[in-house]
Amino acid sequence: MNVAPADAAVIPPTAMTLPKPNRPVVPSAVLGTLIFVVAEVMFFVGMISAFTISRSGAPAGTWPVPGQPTLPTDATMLPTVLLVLSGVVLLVGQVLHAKQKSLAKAFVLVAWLLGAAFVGLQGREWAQLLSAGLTLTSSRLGAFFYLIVGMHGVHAIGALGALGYAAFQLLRGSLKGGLFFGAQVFWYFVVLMWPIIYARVYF
Amino acid sequence: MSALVFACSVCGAGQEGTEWAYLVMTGVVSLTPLAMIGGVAFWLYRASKARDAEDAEEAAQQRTSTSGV
Repeated sequence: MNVAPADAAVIPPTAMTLPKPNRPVVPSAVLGTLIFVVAEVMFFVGMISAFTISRSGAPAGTWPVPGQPTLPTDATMLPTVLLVLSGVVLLVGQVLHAKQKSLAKAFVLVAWLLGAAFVGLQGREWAQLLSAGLTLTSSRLGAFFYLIVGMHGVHAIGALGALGYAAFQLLRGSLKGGLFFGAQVFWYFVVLMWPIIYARVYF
Repeated sequence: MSALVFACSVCGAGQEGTEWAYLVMTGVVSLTPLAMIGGVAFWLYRASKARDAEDAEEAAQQRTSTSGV
């Protein structure tokens, strides 16, 4: 049936005339991760603050407690470099993601592998320290060390999971921008937090 | 000092070094959240401005194409 000219006025407006729905300023995944990261930064700042005050009050010659191992500052340099490198490689992957997707995949995978190497080396370091006698209850240094470094390790494993999932989606070709950016924010938090912990706790 | 004291994290309070650490860490713990919230708010403000500019440009292009110019 043809539409009479009089009825034309009641035809609903087309999509062209409807107001556009509001676009979010940032993807929800990114905003959610940012709020989480802000809370987690304060968690670490609180622990580092307690560590600093506790250490400054330790009588001379008791940090570390005599007879207990010192923290392996030199040996931890390698995992530190690997983690920072991982952040840099991921940043390059992010830049390439918009232009060369195939190359971006390789960079994200390399970043993930470097992060996994960091976690593996940290695990080996823990095993050595535990066998040398530094435990959670052996001294204040041991308690703070396993708490702060351990919580960072937990975050690193969580971020590796998020980044691994993003890398998997990227390889499948079904990666959404918000997910990738959210995983990146989480990983950058892990990367940037570590040098602060390393400088404060190990030295 | 007895061995028991080594286990207490606040037994050193009152020493000069500890007082300095308290002061510095109070500053760090107080300013860090303000800096982070301010940073995120500023970033969101800039992202919002950039989105509005994109929308305005898109609308202008649409007006140009529909007016047949």
